[in-house]
Amino acid sequence: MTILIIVIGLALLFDIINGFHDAANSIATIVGTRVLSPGLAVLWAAFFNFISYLIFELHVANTIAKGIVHPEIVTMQVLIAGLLAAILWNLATWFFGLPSSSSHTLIGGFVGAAIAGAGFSAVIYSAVLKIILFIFLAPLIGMLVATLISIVVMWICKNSNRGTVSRHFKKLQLLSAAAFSIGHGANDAQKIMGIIAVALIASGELEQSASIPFWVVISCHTAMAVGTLLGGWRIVKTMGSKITRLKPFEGFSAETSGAITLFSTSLLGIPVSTTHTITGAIVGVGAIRRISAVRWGVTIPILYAWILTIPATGLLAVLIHYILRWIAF
Amino acid sequence: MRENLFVMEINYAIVVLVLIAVVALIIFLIRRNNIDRKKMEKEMIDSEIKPEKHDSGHA
Repeated sequence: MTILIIVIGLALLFDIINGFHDAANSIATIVGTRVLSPGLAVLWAAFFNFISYLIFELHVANTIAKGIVHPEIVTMQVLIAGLLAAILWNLATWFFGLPSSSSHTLIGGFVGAAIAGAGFSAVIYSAVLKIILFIFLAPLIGMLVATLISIVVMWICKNSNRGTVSRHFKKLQLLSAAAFSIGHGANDAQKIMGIIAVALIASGELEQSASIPFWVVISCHTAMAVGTLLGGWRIVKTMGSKITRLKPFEGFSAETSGAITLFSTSLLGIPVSTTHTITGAIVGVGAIRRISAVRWGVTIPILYAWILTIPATGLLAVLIHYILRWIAF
Repeated sequence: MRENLFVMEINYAIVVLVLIAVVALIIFLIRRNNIDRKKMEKEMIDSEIKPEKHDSGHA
């Protein structure tokens, strides 16, 4: 029971850090375009993060709980190692202001710890391959949809006064940011619900076929909202102004594209990275203005962090798993 | 240790220890993050202030 409490505590801590780390995804564009002050922006995002549980079913949570690692081999040791690796990697990328994916951090840690605990047969490779495929697809989809929305918006507004357009899109950005926050809450909070569900199954507190208890759903969304309220400002700065300077209609296009991608993947149960999606969308709207509007130098370390996240957290989890086995278990 | 952790009773000493570590981490994050936020807000304000126009010195 002590270990189960620790696992749930670590899972919720990861959820807070996930919200904190990925708050940038929801608010960077509205802060970057000065639609809302930083304080109001996190409040806006946290609220819509929290209420997303009312909208989506738990497809992503079920994928994480039963679709990545065979649930019967999962032990508390595996979960602690995976969560600690994920927390450490997220804190490291936050420190360097890199918008890396919290989802991939968690999945990498979970997979690495499962391999350390039960060998390579513990992993369901078809699901992991799908997730790896979406590392490349999510930013591309985000970029493509954002580019299309930008083109449509520019075409509609081509004869309008620039100030009026800006004023209208500042208002519309509130809606697109809310939609993105709902998608973020639905996708990311569900990943930790999946981990807690696995812990409950492994400790015999929950049947493998049972649905995820409501207290798990509500505590995960609360932790995510608390994390978002803190706001990881280093990453907000990278995404809101370092990659490219955004105008309100570009912020709107990027967020709407991100929201569309997240809504579709949440419905399909694909645990896609919210960070990759919105970063791809921001690059897309910047590049449509002109290729040199994107600071490609800033995007290179981000790309490295994306590629490294799953292997690095996997290896870190293996290491922590061996340390845990050696120390206490 | 092994036996203590896996029985149904709760080992409050360990739970409290983990809780203290978690709270300490969150406090550290909040403090560092507040510094980052102030820095970012200052940069935002600075980027909005346009330099004053000076006359070129001609009479």
